[in-house]
Amino acid sequence: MGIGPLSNTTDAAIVATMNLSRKQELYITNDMANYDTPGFKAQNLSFQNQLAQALHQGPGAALGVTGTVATTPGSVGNNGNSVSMTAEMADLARSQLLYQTAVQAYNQKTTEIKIVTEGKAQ
Amino acid sequence: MFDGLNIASTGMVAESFRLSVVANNLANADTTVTAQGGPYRSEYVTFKSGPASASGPNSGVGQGVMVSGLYQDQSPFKVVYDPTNPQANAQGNVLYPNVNLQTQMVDMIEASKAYQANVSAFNSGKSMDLKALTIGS
Repeated sequence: MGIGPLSNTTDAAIVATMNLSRKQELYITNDMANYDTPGFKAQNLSFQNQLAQALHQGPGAALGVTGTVATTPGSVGNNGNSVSMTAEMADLARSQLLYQTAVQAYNQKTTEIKIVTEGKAQ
Repeated sequence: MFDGLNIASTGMVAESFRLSVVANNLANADTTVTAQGGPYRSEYVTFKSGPASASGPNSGVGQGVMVSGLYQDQSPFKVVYDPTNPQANAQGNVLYPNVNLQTQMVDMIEASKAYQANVSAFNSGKSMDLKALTIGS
């Protein structure tokens, strides 16, 4: 197992989380933009359970996780639209924090490599 | 690359258009003569969602919202009995626009809240982009 990115499970978990939480944020943004579109159904991407399982099968499987898109049925208003602003705002905060955590973790890993290769703390 | 920001801006554009239509309705709430003849007719916008992108890293995500049309409200005009008004008809009635103040106010608040929500989504996308610039540092 090398030290290059993506060759170990931790890096794969971090990169998959960065990619998927970013995509999650796009779905939320699209829901919010369509807050007033008649008949629009809110969509959200979930991936954490899938990713947790894939991590047992190694880095390749973790990077292959695409997540599942769920559509919220029913409607909040009388125009057939199912976007709930409260739920979207909460999800937005969650995916933003998840992304920032992943970036933070990635940077921490880079620092570790720098410490090892340069022989001093950054 | 800046898909999140683009999607949020489609929302901002659509909601601010809706807000201008409300403002125009309110400004013309008492306009009894228009270029088309007759009183002003209340207008409303309809939205439709953008198609999801078929390829690329963000395939499957819808591409925001767009204004699909601007329509005139076909409901009847308000009739006010005012025989001394120069615009009164033979029965002494004056036709006033069908702008409903309550509806317009609700529309205005909703458009403004939805606009703010899109701004939040935009800022959130922006802070994620900025965070991405720190990767590896």
